[in-house]
Amino acid sequence: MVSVKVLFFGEAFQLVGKREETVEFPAETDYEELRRIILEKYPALSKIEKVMMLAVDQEYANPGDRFELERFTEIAVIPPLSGG
Amino acid sequence: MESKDWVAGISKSDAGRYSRQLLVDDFGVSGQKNLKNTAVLIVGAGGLGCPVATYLGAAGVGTLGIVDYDRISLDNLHRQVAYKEDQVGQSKSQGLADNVKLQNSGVTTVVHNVSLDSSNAMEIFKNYDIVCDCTDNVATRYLINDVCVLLNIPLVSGSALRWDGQLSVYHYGPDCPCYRCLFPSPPDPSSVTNCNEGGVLGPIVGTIGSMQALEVMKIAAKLSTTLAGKLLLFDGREGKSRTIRLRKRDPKCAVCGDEPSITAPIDYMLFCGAGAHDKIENLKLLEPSVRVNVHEYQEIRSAARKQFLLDTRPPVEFEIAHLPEAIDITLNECRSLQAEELSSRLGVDSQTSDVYVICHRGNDSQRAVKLLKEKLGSIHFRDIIGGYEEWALKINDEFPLY
Repeated sequence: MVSVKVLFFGEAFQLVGKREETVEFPAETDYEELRRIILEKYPALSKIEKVMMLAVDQEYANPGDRFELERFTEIAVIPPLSGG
Repeated sequence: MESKDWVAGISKSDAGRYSRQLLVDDFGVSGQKNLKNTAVLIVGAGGLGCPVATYLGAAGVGTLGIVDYDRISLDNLHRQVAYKEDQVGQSKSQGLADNVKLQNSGVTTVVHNVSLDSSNAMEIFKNYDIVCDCTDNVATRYLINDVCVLLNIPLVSGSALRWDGQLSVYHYGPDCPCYRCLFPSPPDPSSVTNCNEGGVLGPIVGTIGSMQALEVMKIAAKLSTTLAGKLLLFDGREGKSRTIRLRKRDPKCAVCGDEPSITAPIDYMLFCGAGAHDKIENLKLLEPSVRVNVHEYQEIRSAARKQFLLDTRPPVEFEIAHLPEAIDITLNECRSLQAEELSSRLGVDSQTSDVYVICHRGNDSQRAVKLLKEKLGSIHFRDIIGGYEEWALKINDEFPLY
């Protein structure tokens, strides 16, 4: 397992109530597992599950992607904003 | 050679007017000429549309089209900086076009004072080279995306809420994704917060709108360093921005994929389950027996010695104004707190029979009554129809409307 910083943007911040938090993930993982762990740890995010993007080290994560996480990896939870 | 011969890359008047941007590397004379030959459509003449139109007009864009059906209101002015107090009540699209024209008479402006929908979008968009999404709602964002893909127009998309902004360029180049590649299905309407509910700071929309104008100038000047395929996240509270590299175009995308299923605009209100505006919906979640109107509540509170009133609004709104008997317990707290905690915060005991619930406009109060009934079954919870807004309109015109 490895501790990784998870960042919450926009509505994800509103739902979780934190800008960032350190979360434990398996060092070798994939997109599906990242999503599952994040949604289990932060059930409030289920509200935006359909539109929730994940980015790993500032790169959009696609279904099926595999990741080797390290101590300085950053995972961002990004829902779209629609106001203007 | 005569002394009056010269080779002109640009007219004398344009050289004089735009000299400071002609001097910028990689923009220069060719960028200026390209910008002058470009027609840009701005959809939404609000907090984003104001800076986009103002900067593109000033920079000398050839044609600027502005779509908006709405009128200027007083609570727009803190962020929609192109408008003046004496324009309240007037058309936004006309007001913004007038403003651009006043600043730079060389720009051709086109006013589209309509509500953009599936029936008119293709006809409006087809005359433009670049489209800017400066709108405030999800349904219109999908409509704009689809029409840009169908007509093969690059889309410069900005959005903002509270302290945050997002910016990207969609459908620009063969690998560039569209909005649907990223969000194939729309958000649950109950999870979408708009600026009317969540608020937004002027400089946030100002920053994102200014950057949208800059992306348009780069596309017009044919520079390769645009935000196509990238998403810029701006966090104004922390003063940080991050740029995320996005996925490539999805070959299975319903509109820009290899075998698209969307070949003409669809019904976006049906698709999103929400209207094409950012106005507040009037929900009816409760039976009339568990609701009172503001007149009834006024009688109840003047008759009773002690009245229990639960106020579901967030602390920032509670601070703007509240009734003296109101106890602030937010909708989220109604959801998360246990029965005992709720009772003690409210100050109710086993003798208490009635508690009234109020919010800003009467939607969250209904959601709260449903949650509270589950947790404190012995108490009769009722919501106040229309909330503080109705109270201000019908009972006390001194109470702040916001």
